[in-house]
Amino acid sequence: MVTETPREGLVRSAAPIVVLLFVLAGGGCLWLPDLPPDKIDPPTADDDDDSSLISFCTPRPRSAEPVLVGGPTLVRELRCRVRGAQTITWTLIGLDGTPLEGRELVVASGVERIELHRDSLPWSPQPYRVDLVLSVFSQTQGTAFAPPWPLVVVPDADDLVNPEPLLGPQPGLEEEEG
Amino acid sequence: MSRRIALLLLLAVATLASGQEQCGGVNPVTPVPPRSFRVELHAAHAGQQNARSAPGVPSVATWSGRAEDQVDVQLVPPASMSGVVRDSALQSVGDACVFFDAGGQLGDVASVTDSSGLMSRLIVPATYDLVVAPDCLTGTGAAVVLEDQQLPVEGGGSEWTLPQPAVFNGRVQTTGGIGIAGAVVSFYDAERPEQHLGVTVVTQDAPEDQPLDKGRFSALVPAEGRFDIVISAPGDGGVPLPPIRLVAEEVPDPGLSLVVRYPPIQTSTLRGVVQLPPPSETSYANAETRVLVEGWVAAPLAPDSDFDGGYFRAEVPLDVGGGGTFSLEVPEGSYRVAAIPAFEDLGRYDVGAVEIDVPGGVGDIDVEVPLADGVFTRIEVLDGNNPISGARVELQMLTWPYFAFGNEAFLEDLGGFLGFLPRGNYRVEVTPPIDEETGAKRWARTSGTFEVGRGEASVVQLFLRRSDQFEGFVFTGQTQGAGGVRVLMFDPADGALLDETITNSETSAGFFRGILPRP
Repeated sequence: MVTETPREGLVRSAAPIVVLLFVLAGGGCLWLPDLPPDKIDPPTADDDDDSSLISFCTPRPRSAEPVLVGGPTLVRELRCRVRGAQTITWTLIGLDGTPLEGRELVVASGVERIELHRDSLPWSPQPYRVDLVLSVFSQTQGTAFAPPWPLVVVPDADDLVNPEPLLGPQPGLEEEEG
Repeated sequence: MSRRIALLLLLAVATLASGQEQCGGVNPVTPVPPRSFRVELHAAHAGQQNARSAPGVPSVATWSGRAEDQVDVQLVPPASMSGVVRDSALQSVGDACVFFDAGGQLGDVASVTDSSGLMSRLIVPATYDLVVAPDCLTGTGAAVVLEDQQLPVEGGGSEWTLPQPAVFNGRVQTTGGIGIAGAVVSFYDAERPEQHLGVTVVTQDAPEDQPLDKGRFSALVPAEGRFDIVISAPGDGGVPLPPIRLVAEEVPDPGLSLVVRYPPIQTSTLRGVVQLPPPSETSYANAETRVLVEGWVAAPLAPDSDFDGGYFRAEVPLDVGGGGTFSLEVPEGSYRVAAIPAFEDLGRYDVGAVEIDVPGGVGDIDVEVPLADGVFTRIEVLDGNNPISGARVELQMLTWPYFAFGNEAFLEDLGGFLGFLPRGNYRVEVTPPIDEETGAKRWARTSGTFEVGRGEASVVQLFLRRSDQFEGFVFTGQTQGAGGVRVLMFDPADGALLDETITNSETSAGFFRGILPRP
């Protein structure tokens, strides 16, 4: 007959708890009880619904708030929160009476954030307006568009007269430097 | 409790803690190194300013590294403001733009006046520089720059008055006195030569029996001040002029006329063809292929000329229906001609460019612009040696033409980006996948730069860094939690985005969870 001491009994009774702790630890992902998940409730702000394909755009796309690109502002960042979309496309839409009239130019795809450089936009010495449109497609929710951002594109005087060549150093200067 | 039990429990707890850190989805049990990050808050409500941190002042927060320590971030409450734009006769001006700069960039915020000349909005109280621009800088009305404006104004709205205009007459002509029609004349503030005044006019054409009217222009500019005046070709190169810049010109007395003289510059017609991709489903996109011509025009000897050499730049869309051809009259000079494939084709083709010398007055010059293949590029996202699937990869070209690409959702399972890219420098940003069931994040975002050069293929590896989660709280001045606020967390050193999330709205309003990489 085998008898166990009180100490051995304690070991035996504690063993399942220890094993359970190991199993939980081995599972790797155990949440501490007082910590909420990343987000408890979807936000319910006036403009944005985080369940939308497009939300929280910065700056806000509003017709009465044009986005300036050029002049002293060489680069302008636009950023949205896009969730659940298979494709994302940013397109410049030419406006009537402007250098881009009747034209559509895709400038980015698959990204939530773009940097609009003055040099990346169609060249013109005259300031002009153009709309930027973000469109996304989801197999479950279809196609969605953000309202267009009205862009005001302004050249810099240096860009007109003595610009940094977009295609690299000037051919003549390149040879001299070489 | 026996020593053996204590040892086992200690080992289990240690293993548990280790598992938690490996999971990365929860706060560390033991303290980890503290770290700072720059935080931007973006509120969602209509009519509010986008950036809700104090404008122009980077908001840096610090997390102690202890799970129990919360990061508090204050949301600067905006205040309502209004303003009215009037001309020098005190008549209201509608459709005018008011661009605000609070130490960041001009146009951080902008509003347009209504038909009564009024604008109103919410704005974070601060000191702003303003540019008030009729026609939003795209017309002929002169803008005014107002510095150090404390907004909103206490006890009422703002009132901005445009400057008294004066007529500035001029003529663009050759040294032989022949007027040049179609030239673009732009005015800049001489004290801020980067600041376009919003005054752009085009020189006029005239009937043959009135040759002296050809090349004339008339502009309304502020009656006081000096201006830089730039005369150039239109963007499509329709008038083959290299630019001339006149610095710090004053408004001449009434009746006087500024004359800008070009030397007799010989021109030739550049006739080009771009070797287009073979017909495919991208035929629609091919219509958007653009051709850029830029080069240096030397100054001919002409004592009475205002031109001493300058850059010529023009951009035209490719005539796809005409077999991928273009035609442009250019001054004698040395040029680079580049074809930018339609964006959809950039996945297969690189930007093509050739150099060419154009002698003057020889008639037609033929040029072919080949489109080279793009470079096959694979971007791998790794945790140690393990490829991570489901990561979102975004690429931004750091060189012209500055396009941005990303892996489409159906490619995310490949564990990175796979495709053709034009040569150039890129910044890549990786958004690691999150646990679909719990919403837990294991890694902070990561980013890097790389170059796609000449070659057969390019492989870029990006490693996710061990990261820790923390809890934060966005509150207003009354310490109330602010729900539905987008929180962007950046590396204070290089500005890379580390994490972004939305604060809770109803339950535990204002709370959020962020994740930061270990130093």
